[in-house]
Amino acid sequence: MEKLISKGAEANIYLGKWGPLDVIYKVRVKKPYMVEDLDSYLRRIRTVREAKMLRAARNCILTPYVLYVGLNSFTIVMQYVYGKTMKELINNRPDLSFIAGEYLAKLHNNGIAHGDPNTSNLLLELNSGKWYMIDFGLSYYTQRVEDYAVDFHLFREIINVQHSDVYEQAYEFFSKGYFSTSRIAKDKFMNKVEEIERRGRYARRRKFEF
Amino acid sequence: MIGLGIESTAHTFGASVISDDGRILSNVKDVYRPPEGAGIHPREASRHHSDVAPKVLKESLIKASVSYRDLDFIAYSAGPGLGPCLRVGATLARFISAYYDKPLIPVHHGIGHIELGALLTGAKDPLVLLLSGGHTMILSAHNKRWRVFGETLDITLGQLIDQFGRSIGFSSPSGPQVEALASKGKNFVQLPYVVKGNDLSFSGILSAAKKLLSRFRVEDMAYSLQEVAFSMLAETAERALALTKKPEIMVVGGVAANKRLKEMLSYIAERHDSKLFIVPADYAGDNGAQIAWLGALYHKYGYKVEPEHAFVDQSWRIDEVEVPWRS
Repeated sequence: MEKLISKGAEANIYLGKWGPLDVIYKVRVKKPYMVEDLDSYLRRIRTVREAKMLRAARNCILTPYVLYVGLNSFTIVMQYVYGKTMKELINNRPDLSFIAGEYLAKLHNNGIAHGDPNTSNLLLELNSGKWYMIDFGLSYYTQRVEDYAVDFHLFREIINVQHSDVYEQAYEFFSKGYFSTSRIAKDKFMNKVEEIERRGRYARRRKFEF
Repeated sequence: MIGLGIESTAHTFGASVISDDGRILSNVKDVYRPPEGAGIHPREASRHHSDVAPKVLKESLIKASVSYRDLDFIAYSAGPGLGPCLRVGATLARFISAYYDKPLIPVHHGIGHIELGALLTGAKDPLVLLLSGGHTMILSAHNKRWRVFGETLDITLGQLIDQFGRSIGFSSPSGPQVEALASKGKNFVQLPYVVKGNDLSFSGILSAAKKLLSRFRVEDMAYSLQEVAFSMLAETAERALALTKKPEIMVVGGVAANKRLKEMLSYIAERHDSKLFIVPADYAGDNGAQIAWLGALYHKYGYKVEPEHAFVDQSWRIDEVEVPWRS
């Protein structure tokens, strides 16, 4: 009945039916390599968190409707969004990352950090032309600018490694989108982002010439 | 074509002679051991390196049956690492290069781990886990750079294990001792599991584990620390595999020798139809061959610096370095 359409890092995604509706079954699968206690703790907390935050985020952006949460099966049943990911589109349309910036800033304005923003987590619904954000398993409520800056850093990191050919344009649009919407002053925010990146290992940038 | 590589980034002073078709003719090293419970002192380590350098260099040439005059290039580890230690290797390399008039090639220590790993395992275009004392990174090559997919936001996995080991009285580097201890642990104690996107944070585990030592058996703490830290790494590696769909995954750096980590990564590789490569244990830790081989790769592209422009950079970042052989 349900058809496996994607095998992610932490969950299998099945396409199935919920009454007359096409739906996604997101099932957090057991990781046999992990200690049992740790594995079930992580699967439970992330299932709860994702279901809760998918709903919470609907205040400010589009997310799939949650229809059912199975705590014992670590399953969320949600609206199926038929479309393409930003990952598939961005190499030809780096300007699309404006939306990523805008969506992220909207979440932050509402006190939510996504925790794993990347180009695979934004879906363009083909019928409506509307963007949906998904994968809220690592997201949480926070008022700390630092947490928002980590989100910003993570997205920048992902376009740098996965879309390096269009990185500069994509980053510019992402940044524009973010600051068009964010309530935090750009200077202050970017200082925080740089502080986080400096805290990483060997953050000093050097032009190396032979 | 043959060349000499000199490694002096941290604990290890190493020298290796390698041919440009990848035959390691010699690989000699001498490792500084700090007193038990203490970390590496940069000045003491650099003194050690200065003391052992003549012996190590000489031995590496004798084992390879070559003299300085036979060499086609001199490569040294220019960073990242401890300043005083790096300067020992750089100074020697500069001198040998100037005296014998040989091309001088500064190379990045972390990329040395990666490229030597690729040479020895045969991995072509892998997703890389670089797990040395100084790096905890997930990388993939694209457009002449090793690009960082995810990394630690504070201390490295190697530091986490080493500092925990030191806090219970082991001598640094204490990875193998902590691993042996962990294999005797039975009871899992929850520690902070911090994954942010593809990035990791280990400092919370270290603080918590040290604090909990007063309440739980040391074996159980070592076990739990490894389980949590490796699970975090395995999860981000799996995430990167799922996103990049790379057919190969390769582990390099000192922590690559850990058996429990290997077990976890084998499972992930299998689940995502990827082939797992692990650098041979003899070459997992810092060594001269990683520097010599990287030097050989650069030499093919004519990269070199004049001795007066030879530099060291303690915080040289990996994704800033051009690697022309990686498309």
